[in-house]
Amino acid sequence: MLKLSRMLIIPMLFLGLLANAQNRKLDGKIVGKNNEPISGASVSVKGSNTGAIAKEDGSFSLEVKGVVTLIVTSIGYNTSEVPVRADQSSVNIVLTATEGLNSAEIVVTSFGMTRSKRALGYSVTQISGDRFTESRTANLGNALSGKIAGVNVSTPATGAAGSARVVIRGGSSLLGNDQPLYVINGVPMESSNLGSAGMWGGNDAGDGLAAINPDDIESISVLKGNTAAALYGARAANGVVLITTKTGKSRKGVGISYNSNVTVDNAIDFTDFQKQYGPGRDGAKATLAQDALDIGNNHWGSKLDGSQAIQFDGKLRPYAYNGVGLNSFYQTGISANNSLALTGGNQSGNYRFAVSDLDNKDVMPNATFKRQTINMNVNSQLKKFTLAVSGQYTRQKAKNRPRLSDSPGNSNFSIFMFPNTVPFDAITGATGKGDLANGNELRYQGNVFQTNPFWGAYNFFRLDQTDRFLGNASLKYNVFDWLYIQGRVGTDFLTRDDASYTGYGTAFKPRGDFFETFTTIREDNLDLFIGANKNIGDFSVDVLLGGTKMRRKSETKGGGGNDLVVPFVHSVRNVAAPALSYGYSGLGTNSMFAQANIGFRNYLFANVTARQDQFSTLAADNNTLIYPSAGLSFIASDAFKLPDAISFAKVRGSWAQVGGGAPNPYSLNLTYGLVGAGHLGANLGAINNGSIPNQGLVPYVSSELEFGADIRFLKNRFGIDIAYYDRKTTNDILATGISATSGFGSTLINIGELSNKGIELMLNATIIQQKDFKWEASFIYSNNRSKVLSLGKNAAGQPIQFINLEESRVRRERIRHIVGQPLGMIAGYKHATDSKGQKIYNADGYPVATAGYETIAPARHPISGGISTILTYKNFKLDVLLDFRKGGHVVSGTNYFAYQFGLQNETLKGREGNFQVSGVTPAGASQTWTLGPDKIDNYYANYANVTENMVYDASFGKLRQFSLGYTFPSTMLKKTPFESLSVSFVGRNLATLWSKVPNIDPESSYTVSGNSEGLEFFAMPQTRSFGVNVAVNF
Amino acid sequence: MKHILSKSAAWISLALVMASCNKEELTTLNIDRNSVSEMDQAYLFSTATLRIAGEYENTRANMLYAATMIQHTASTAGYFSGDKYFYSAQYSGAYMERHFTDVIRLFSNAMNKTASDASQSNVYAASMLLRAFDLHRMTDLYGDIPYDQAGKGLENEENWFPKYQAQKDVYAALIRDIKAARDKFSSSARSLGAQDFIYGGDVAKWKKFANSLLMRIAMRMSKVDAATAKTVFLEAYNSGGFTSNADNAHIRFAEGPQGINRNGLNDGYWNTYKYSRDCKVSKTFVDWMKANNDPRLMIVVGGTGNPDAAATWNTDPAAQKGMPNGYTTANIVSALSSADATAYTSISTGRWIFSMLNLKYMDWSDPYILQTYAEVQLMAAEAAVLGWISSDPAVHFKNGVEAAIKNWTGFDASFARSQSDIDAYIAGRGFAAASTEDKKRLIGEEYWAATYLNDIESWSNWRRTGYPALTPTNDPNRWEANQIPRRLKYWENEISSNPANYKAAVDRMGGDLFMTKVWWDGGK
Repeated sequence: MLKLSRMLIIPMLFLGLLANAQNRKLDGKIVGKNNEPISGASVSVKGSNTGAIAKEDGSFSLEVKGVVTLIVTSIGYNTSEVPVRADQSSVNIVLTATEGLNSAEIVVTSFGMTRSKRALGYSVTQISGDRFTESRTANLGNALSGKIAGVNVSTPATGAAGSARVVIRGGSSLLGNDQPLYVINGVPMESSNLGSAGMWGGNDAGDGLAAINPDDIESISVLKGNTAAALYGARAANGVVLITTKTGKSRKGVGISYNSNVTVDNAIDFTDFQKQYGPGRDGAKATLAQDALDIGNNHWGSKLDGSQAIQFDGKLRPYAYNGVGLNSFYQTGISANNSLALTGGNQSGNYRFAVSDLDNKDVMPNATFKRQTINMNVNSQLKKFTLAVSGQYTRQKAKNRPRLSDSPGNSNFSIFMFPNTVPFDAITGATGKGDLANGNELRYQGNVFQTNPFWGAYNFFRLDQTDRFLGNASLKYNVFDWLYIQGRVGTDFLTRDDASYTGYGTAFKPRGDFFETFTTIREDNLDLFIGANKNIGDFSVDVLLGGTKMRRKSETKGGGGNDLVVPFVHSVRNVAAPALSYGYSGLGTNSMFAQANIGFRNYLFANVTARQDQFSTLAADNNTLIYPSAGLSFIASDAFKLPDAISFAKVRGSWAQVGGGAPNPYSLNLTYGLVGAGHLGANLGAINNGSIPNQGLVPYVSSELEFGADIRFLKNRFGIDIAYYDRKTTNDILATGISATSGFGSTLINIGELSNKGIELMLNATIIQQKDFKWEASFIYSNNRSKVLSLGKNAAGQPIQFINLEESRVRRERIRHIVGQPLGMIAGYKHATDSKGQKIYNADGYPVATAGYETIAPARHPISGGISTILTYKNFKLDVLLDFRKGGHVVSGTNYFAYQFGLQNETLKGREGNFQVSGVTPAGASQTWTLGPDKIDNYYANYANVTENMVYDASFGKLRQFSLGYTFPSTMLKKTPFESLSVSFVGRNLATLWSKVPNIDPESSYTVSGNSEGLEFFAMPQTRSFGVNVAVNF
Repeated sequence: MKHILSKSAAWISLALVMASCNKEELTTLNIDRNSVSEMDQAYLFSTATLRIAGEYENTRANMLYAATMIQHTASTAGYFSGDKYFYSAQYSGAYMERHFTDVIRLFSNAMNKTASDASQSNVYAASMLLRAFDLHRMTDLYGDIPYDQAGKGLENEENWFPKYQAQKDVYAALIRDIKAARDKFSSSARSLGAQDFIYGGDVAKWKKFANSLLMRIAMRMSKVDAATAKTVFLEAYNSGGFTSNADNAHIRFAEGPQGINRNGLNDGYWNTYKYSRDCKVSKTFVDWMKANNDPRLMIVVGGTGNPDAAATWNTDPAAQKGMPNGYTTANIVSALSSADATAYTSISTGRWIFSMLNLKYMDWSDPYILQTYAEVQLMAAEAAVLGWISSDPAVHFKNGVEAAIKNWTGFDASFARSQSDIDAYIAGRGFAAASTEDKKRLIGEEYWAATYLNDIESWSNWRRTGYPALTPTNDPNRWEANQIPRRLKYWENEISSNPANYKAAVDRMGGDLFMTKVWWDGGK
């Protein structure tokens, strides 16, 4: 690193000596449509770092040389590019107010460089930060939902502090990480999910995006295609999300902005369970307390008749519906997010300093999330040098991230399946924490692995605290007007302390446990590049050449164990046999890149890039990969005279190849490690690898062809932006499942091939525009068709038909990639049929499942989209976002257990006997069975065991965001210290407009892992929020 | 201008080339400082040994299934699936799920790395023998299994989808490998020493274990291939099996510090997970011990009542009461006397009326039994009854029963029983005077009692001999039949991860069901 920084400085100094120029002064004025001066607008000379800020009267002056293009930006106005002739000494610039949604014309692209959208041969969507601040969530990723065509956000139901899953254009890889690269102010950020629930339970541990305060975001720009991402190399194979934080503005004095957002959150209860029959088995309720305890959640008893019936604790209570629903347990959550920013600046620099505080109380009792951020951004210009420094420090403290999936400690499981006659106060316990007087867990049902929900919430504990610094500094030196060199260092450093315990007295772990892990992750990026911009006759040339060095390391130190020695004391030193763990991993990439953009008469643009990556994680002789890209953009409306109705028309096309998936470090070789502390004086050894190592791995390659058009009509009032892409990934690295009887469950091989083809559509319209009233709407739609083309051959030389991904705790299903099918199919048992397709039932009349797993339905939604509409009337503004998905499925663990336990509404059929089932016997003879009440439970248990009966169409539409705001007119504020003041009423997830999944939210996955998409098993309920947002500027 | 351009370009290029081409530094990053690429294979052998007693599969295959199927224990809890003949994919598949990856691959790897090194021949031989021991259990549990290719995925791509071999061929391979291992043990090679948790490196004892295991294997196949069985048995018997309890093959465990240091079966029964709170000693077993005045009664059972509530705890032998197999809390009352039913119905006594397992053999540090001298003597008694060997079956029977009772002191010193009680018990069994069939019954019953806690072995021997005579239970929710299962269903993962070979095995065996008989049980 040192070496490189030295190298960065030397050529800078060298070139600095050679600078010279013949400058002239250019005066200008920036006004709005009604000739009102726009103070604070920023003016910069394209391709250089010369710039100025407009004064209060909108005037500015600049030193320029020759023909230049000015880029003028100001909040609330469209960015404008203004060409200035060589003989011009003054210029008058008129900015138009921002119209419609997603209307930015200057967008942030690779390495944080702004470029005019018209020159791009690929699709980039940029949204401004204010679209994230009102109806916000703790995790920024979730706020992207429904806003960008081709970006599919799923919001796993993991609690308020949980991670988001963002997938662009269906992802490039069959396995592993299919989420995009996040880049803040030009520097990659470590954003991976730090842990999630699996089939055996666990909790979401959060991700990097949750560290960002939406109030600090100037804009988010999404590079969807390979071309856009080609300059980021391997890590960009799944697209790039570029986050630009706010900078200061030149102004008089210090500007103060304060934003306060307070929402109340409630769990959305989708359950609609039967309320006619109570706990019991074979049609009868318990007559013994012991039996009532064993029966637990089984609702196969008699009809609820209000009679006195014995319960688990030996007490007689009415055998009647208890009225307990999800919200009897979940509490009203509150999120308060307060941000304060100070800004200022002048011609030679600007700054922004912001602090924020998020305080969230989750709907899960005893779960909270707190986040404080400090964000700083300083830009300064000194002659030919431009220095930009931005940094963020975040402290996050998440208490009791809810346990999900498998039942131990998962309060969601217990409350969803709660016996419908047991009153809630019978289980709250001695101190309201699900405890007995002796401090042990109060059990109301026999299975020790189903924890009392209050015990789960109060006596299972986890706390994680993350301190994170994210920062970068760049120094740019303009050698000439047209040539600059720039160096940048960025670092992302986090330390995290995770502590957890299972309480002493927990039924399945009577002596409890305690574990604590310290993690540090650090990633450094070092960039150096040289760039040139020059206009030569009709041509404009823009060239960039650079190199990047990335190093990442993570280290974990942990301790803990089972069995607390002194009850209720939670410390690493208070477990019977503390075990220590230590983990380290380091990796790096060295890269070089080059880019050239050539424009002709400002209506035809060609763009070529190349990047080479070298990976530490691959064998030295095949660790290099080159990514090329090329694109073309043609502004037909400037080149030809088009009908008047067409105000703008652009067609674009591009091709690019990126790659990725260099494996985790150290996975090329077989390694051994020691187990624990040995045994009876001997050493214990183990094979570290869970997968058979493969020395010959190479990165996978993904190539993409993209075409698109951007056409606007009637003075830009209507616009359509359409893109078509065809992406193919080859040589994907797969952990191919092999038979575990070989000793290993998988091996890594370069064999996968998949294709993603899709269209993305964005329609913008200003439907009504009158003096006081404006109605804008936008519609986005994307349809991604993925297909697994090949999974290679197995050791026996036969083509592999599918690979297994995850399964839920039900263990009667698998998410699979299957050749010829879309990514992520749900496989499981179907109802067995005879050759004529008639359903087979066994001798008892119970459904017979197929002998093995069959393909059932695609899990992932190919179609996603959203409808945004903004109505403005005088100072009122109504902003509504609908969000929809279509085509995916979910295999529901909640419904599986609802059937097993007799809670599902469907299980009412046949309770009183004479339940008739018609089908064929295994031998093929037609038969009708009549089932008595003693068999109905087995019938539905077998019914639920037929996986396809538990698979539901997960398509949905939701009213995702709502805000109604009022901005006080400046006349009203004249006598106040406020520059501006606006108040909004905001809401999130206000309504589910359509869904076909009974009892659960269609978005109820318990993990962000793509390999589990389509599995549902007792995650948190989604929440509905209402609140108020107040924004003030002083 | 040109000059400047070319000069600056040269500088930049130089910087970039140097920054990017530092290949050596990159490669160094990929060296894992936390692990090694070579390791003493004896360390792997040691880990694999301990994992034979892994908690996950021992609670599932042994405790939840075999022990209740064979009516050593009973439970009203539904997850104790074995005596109600419920099918749980996870419990049924547990042994396969864990042992190929946790046990077999380590033994296979140790064998592969030491095969050509004479100085390591004890590591090789002990790995080969324990690999055979574990795969023998596996084939007895499931039928056809991968044997030759099992756990050898690292060696060759051919082994990524191991073929299931017919059980007949697995047995032939077991005999081949155990004999080869026996011949490979060498006192001149490096001793296993402390890495050996069974014999501490005693090569002579390992050879006795090999012979004892061969006898077990021979006896198992006696029903379907008596000729081979006899040949194998005699060769092993003459070569020399266990001669006292001091030779017994058991894995020595400790209190910790970690899970791997602990007897996994006991970890499941009582210590970490305490599943045994939900299960009791079976009425079949308690009644049998009571009827025969068995001195082991108060070893096997701890008492009635709640061990955590001293006032309720009753260790009077006469008060001991086994729990009948095959009931749930809803219908067990129908199987009880009216007094017991009343007591059971009371919330304060409830299921505490049944005798609990004795906590004294449930310590983490208690031994995990693989095979005992008692079993060898009982097999010899059977061989004598069959006329394979000429010695007096009654002597072998006496030796076997005596050894079985005395071996309990390895769990707890208080389990010592007086010689007179032991002699009286054996005399009471009336072996010498019994008919040939009754002799077989007595041997079968004693083998069943002697292999308590090693329930997989009990169950296998019951399947072969039909002794002790057990009455199947009658739960209406049983999965396949109200019959004691003849095998476990394969781990379902194999259906999708090794489909062709799984299917071939199922086709060959005629099904993948509880009632599908394995080859030595009269199946295909």
